Amino acid sequence: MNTQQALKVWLKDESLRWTPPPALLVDVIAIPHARGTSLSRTARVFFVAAAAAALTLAFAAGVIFVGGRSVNPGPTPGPTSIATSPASPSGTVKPASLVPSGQYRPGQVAFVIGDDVFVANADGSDQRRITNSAATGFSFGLFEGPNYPNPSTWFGDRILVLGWRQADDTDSLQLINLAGGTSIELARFTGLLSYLDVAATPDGSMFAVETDESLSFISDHGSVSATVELPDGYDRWGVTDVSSLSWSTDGGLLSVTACTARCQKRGDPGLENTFVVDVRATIPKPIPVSVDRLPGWNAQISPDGQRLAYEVVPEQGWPGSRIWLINRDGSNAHQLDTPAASRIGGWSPDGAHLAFVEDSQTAGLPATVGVIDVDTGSYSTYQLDPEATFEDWSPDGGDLSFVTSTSDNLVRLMTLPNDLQSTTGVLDVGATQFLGASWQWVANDN
Amino acid sequence: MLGERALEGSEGADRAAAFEALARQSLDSSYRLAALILRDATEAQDAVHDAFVQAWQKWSSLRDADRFDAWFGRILLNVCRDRLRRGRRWQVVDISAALDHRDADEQGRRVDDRLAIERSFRHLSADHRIVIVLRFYLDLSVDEIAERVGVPSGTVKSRLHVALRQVGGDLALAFDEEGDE
Repeated sequence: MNTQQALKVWLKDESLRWTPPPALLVDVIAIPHARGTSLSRTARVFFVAAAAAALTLAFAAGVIFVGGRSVNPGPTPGPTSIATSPASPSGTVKPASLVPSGQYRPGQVAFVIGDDVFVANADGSDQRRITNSAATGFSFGLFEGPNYPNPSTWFGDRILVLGWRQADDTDSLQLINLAGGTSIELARFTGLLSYLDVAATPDGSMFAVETDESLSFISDHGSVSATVELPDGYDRWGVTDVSSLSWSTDGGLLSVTACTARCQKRGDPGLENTFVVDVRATIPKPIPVSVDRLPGWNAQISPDGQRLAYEVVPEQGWPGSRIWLINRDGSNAHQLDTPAASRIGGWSPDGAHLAFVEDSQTAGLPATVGVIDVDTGSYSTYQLDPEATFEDWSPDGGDLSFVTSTSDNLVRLMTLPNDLQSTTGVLDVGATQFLGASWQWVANDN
Repeated sequence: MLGERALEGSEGADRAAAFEALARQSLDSSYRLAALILRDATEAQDAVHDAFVQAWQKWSSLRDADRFDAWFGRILLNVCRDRLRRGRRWQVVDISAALDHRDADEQGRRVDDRLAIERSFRHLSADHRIVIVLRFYLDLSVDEIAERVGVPSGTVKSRLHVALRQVGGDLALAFDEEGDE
């Protein structure tokens, strides 16, 4: 059987197992009546879409001009509220060593409406569009890559966005200056692009840009400083459904995954291994963490570059991952005793704790998020809304943020102290595509 | 089957009813098409939703209901394309579905073969997935695909060539590796 015949048979067979759920039919036929009082799921989608369009216009409000034309003011878009949630914690053991050193709160948020990126203060003020899809032809959107969680996109006064231009089938990775809207193009890809992952050093001065075929280091000025050859015996970089890249705090070490051709996703029966690249070397080379295959995914290097946390998929397959630690020299591999199957959120800035999120979340049920002391094993947990994902640690490690969504599928950013005893802020972003939030120091006497 | 008459001069409830009827009619095939391209049930549901929302918003631009399939088909393909290109969500292959299918597979094709095709298909770009599905699932000609997608026929040929070359290479590699084991 040749390729065409194989595809034909496969597609015909596959089509038989896809049947639209009855609810979809009910929802779809509700569309024409969506202006009525009953809101089905589709009707809500309709109104969300309509609201998004309205919000785009609303950004004008006498401030924003779209495509050189002033637009009519509308209802207030973007972030709408910051409130304190009274939800009770379910934590068991409070991390002992972290003492909040300040009060960091979300400062600015970035989100996508239509084809453009908008930025606003967390209180909803100073909303502005920072891309111009009409002028550039690029549709700017959420860059998720294969990462879990999404890579941080904020670097002081700049933000990382991905644009796609249909006219010439081009992807463009751009650093946008928040103040002036000017951009620096870090990389451009035309045509077939089956895999892309990007990770920035904490200070945003260097970017590791990874496709399945290449790994390059690109400065924030857009110049390529080095490329890294695939290790012998490996066919591709990265794993498509998990993060492959992470940086040490000083930007000197990068952890990365390489795979054989058959290992393209978590759980594939191919060969994968995690490597550390010393970016400061004259010719950066990937050094394997373990001589043997490291049976894990989503490896994240600790801030000091000495340890890696990674996820191990159970024998029966995903979900149900457990988190393991290993020293960079391959010694002392051991499993962290998290309360349930967990995925890695991120290292705390001091490297003493790991944020984690319950794996195999059950739809509709609260999600367990947690913080574990990687040396003592003590942990705290908290129940958040379903499908919560880790977003970020505050710069001092005193707070964390997680992303959930409202009933209308709009993004909700929740902040908690590192002991997870309560939520300290709930920010409704007012958009479905969330790019990230910066942290802002708020003095205690404010 | 609604014809041109159904849309002529129709307003308000009539137009909604016409849309509803056409939506009902194309729902099943649209969902299957989206699912084949996106390889994810939830993504397919959302894509069909979004496509119908767009179609309803543009409903006044359709004057001939007989053109609905092609008109809506292009909307749906664009939605699928955008979801693949902008969302870039990479899903884990549902191996259990393939395993379930093995028992019913009278021709004795192996699960590994199906997974190899699945893996390769998932690594195609949005444009390449679309041309593959239109050509080998809907059996559209190159010219028909060009019209549906809105690109020149030469572009369709090129995309088919690239996609088939990539899938063919992946399958050969996968089968070679199996043979080595």
